[in-house]
Amino acid sequence: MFKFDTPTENKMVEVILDGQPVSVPAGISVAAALLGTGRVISRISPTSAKPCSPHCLMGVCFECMMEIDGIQRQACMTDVTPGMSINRYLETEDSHESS
Amino acid sequence: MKTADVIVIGGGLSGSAIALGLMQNNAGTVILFDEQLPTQRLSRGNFGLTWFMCKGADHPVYAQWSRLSCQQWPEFAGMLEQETGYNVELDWTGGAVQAMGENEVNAHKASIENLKSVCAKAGLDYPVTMLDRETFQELIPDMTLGEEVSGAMYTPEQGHVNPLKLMAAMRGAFQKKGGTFISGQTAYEVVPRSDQTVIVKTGKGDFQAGKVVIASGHGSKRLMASLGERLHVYPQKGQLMVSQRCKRLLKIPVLSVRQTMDGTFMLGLSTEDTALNNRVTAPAMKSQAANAIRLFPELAKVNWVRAWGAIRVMTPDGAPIYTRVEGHENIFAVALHSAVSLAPLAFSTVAPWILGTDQHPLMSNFTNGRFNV
Amino acid sequence: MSHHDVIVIGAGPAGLSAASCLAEMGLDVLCLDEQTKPGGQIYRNIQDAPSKRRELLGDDYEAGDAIVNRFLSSGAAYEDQAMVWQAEADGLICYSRFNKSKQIRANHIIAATGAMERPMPIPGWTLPGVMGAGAANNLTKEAGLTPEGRVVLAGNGPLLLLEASLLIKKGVKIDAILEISPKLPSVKSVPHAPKALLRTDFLWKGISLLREIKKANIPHYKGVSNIQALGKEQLETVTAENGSEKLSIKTDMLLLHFGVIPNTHLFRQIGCKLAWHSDQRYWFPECDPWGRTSCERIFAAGDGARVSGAIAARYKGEIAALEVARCSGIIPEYERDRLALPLLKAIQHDHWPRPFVDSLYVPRPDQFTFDDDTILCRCETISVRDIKKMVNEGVRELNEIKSITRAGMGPCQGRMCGSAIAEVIAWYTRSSPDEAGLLNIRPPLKPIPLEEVAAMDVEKNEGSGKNWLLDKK
Repeated sequence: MFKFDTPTENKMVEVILDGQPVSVPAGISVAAALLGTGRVISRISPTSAKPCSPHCLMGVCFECMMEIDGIQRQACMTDVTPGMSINRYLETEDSHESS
Repeated sequence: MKTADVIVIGGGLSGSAIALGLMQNNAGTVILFDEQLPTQRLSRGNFGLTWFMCKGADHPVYAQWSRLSCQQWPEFAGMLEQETGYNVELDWTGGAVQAMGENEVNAHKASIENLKSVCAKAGLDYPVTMLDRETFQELIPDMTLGEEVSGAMYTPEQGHVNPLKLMAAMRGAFQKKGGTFISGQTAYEVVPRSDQTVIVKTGKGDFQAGKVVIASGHGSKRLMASLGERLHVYPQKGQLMVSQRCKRLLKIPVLSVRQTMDGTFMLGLSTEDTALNNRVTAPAMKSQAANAIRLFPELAKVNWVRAWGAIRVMTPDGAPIYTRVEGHENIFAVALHSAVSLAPLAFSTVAPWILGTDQHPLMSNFTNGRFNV
Repeated sequence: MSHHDVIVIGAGPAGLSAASCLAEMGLDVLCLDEQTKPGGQIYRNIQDAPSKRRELLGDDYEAGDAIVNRFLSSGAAYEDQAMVWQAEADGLICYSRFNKSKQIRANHIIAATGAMERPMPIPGWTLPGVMGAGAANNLTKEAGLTPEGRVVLAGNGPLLLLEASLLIKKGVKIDAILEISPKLPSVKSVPHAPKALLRTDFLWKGISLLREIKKANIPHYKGVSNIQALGKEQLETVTAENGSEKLSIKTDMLLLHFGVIPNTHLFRQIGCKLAWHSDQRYWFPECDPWGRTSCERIFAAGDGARVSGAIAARYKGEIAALEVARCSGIIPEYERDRLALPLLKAIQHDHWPRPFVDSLYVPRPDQFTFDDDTILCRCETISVRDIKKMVNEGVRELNEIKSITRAGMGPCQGRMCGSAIAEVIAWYTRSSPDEAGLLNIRPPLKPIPLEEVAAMDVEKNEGSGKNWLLDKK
């Protein structure tokens, strides 16, 4: 959905996303890092069971809520740190895997 | 001037339940006024427990009243769903009160013994037992108990409900049965006439009724005062907290922590004296959060999402007031806390008492005058 | 517990300027900001922006440099990643930073919490691929990200066109710009035009914007209605009605922008009095000319007080600071007025084109969708149909609606749905949105983990928590 203007601009670090180690740019928000690396879905809505994606990117809409280091936080308001554990819980009973 | 057989002033939990009961008992034309004040909506401060456990330890009549109401809950919920399609989310999974340490275990045991005998004298059972830690943990297999939890008192014969859906359901059912719901209009004075009818003055005109029921929460005092009677209620704040939605793990509501059907945990209620100030205070939040974590350590990582305070209508002995206004056969007032637990009785028993068609023997214990000593 | 002269909440132009001014005058100021770097939304990431990006975003963005630099050398204390979750009219604040919450106090609070894009529910707006135009702007500034595929921009307001121009400069393929504002401006705009003409720089900017868009050959529609986002798992098509013509555009991203409204949650949680701006259809904290709200110690500055743009924000932040300095006994009234004079002149100058622009893009009641299936409350998945049902059952007040439907009970606490629900109620009851009331805002302003609450530093600890049932009857 989004691409980096200068791909080498940001230092890359490793985080654990949904149990898998992945490489993402540091120094930006988790939401931006995920969007910029093709991971568009932030969570599955607990009320509609549909996939959600960040909408406002400024901490108002709460669509980017995901579990970051054990706590549900807004991904757009949390910067990437090395070794961070991010869980989106995209596999629920009636959702299918999507990134 | 518009007329009605009965006017109920106050569309909260008690008012709506009574109005519904009036329609159920063929009261004729019933109008339910609800100001919809955004601030003092105490119905929103109810925790949602439909409990009898621990109630009326030094008030046998209240113990009986609570038990009676609780027994009527499942049928009441079923009726509401059938009438309106609203699922009030009654979860009849029992209830527990945790004990932290030996002292609390002993206090709980004493409480059980006391209430057993209080209820026995009135010919009622009190199906509550004291559980040790192991048995309590078995009842809640999906949540780990904190280290300090020594046990709990428990009964299978009560539950919890969604108080907001309950209010919507009762109001909906009331209107379905032909009741008139008027919102956003202030009924500011009740004036009895010599012909035994009653005038209710509102901001948008006067209404005449055969009977009037005052069920306006903290607004009732003012309406009673103009009738020359002091309503014996005082404000008591309760603060509650709600968490994010989680997977449904806690099936049995424990005092001060319950998980609703939509997955949110509710923590509360505190007890404070701040008169009519319902603001949320950080110390209360801290205390409730700490207690919840002592009970269920897994709650530590769960997000607190909302808190609010509401002001209970408290009476000097904690039991409800269902009263006729002094000197006025046809003007009634109701004032109580725990209106969720007592909603079935408001519907099945208080309404017929108001209509004069059926008087339950316990009703005479709930006069406002009992406090005039 | 720490006690400051002033706590400024928000490190955008208003907050930074207010904090700088106060610190320079020698007051003990603490600026708390939620983001990792100062600059707010407009000057997001200005300090670390590479030169290419600065060039792209232009002078308007670079102006933030001076503001941030002034702040950083002013002596004001600054805490980034500090999320204020409760405040009181007497100056008490609860906030969370690095997983720890605490209470602090100030004699005055200047809340410069900014604005947000007006949430405008359209069918399909919850689909991945649909975002705010401001979101794309933020991603550019924060992370140097650009939309990969094709984009449609839809909505209303100068910022929509500004974003279009930015995307054009970045080489993004824009499939269409759908504006709901009418082809011909309303007659009401005419009286405002002369003043706008005084600001030739502003007009020139507007004209070049439109020229750029024309040059790029982007289909640009005006007076469009019934915008919808369609797709199964993600956005696939945008449809709209252009008079009798039906538009259907296959695209990858839909950027929505319907103007900007103040983010009033903090003021409402404190209990400040709010006023309804009937033309621009938003609530804002009622303030005196210095920015003092109905709560004596609480000031509002910047777009969070009234939407006036970044230039006005920095001056208004400073105006509030001057009055706070006077209240704190640091400068007398005449000195305050002397210092305020050039700021007021600057605000006036900046303000000239605003009434004209505002009237061009004035929001209309019928621009809100009333399509039954449209989701209003995204957090709880509550639709227009659900709200209509309540209105039919005699419920008119927002908090009552919230109680019964759960709309507004989710994590965003009505930021995304509150205004739209009020518009729906207003439409169906033929009244004005402000008559539906305002959702009561409760702490915490944003969720925090229970363990953090349990461990927080509070002014006065309460007892171990009375067990209400056990103590009572």
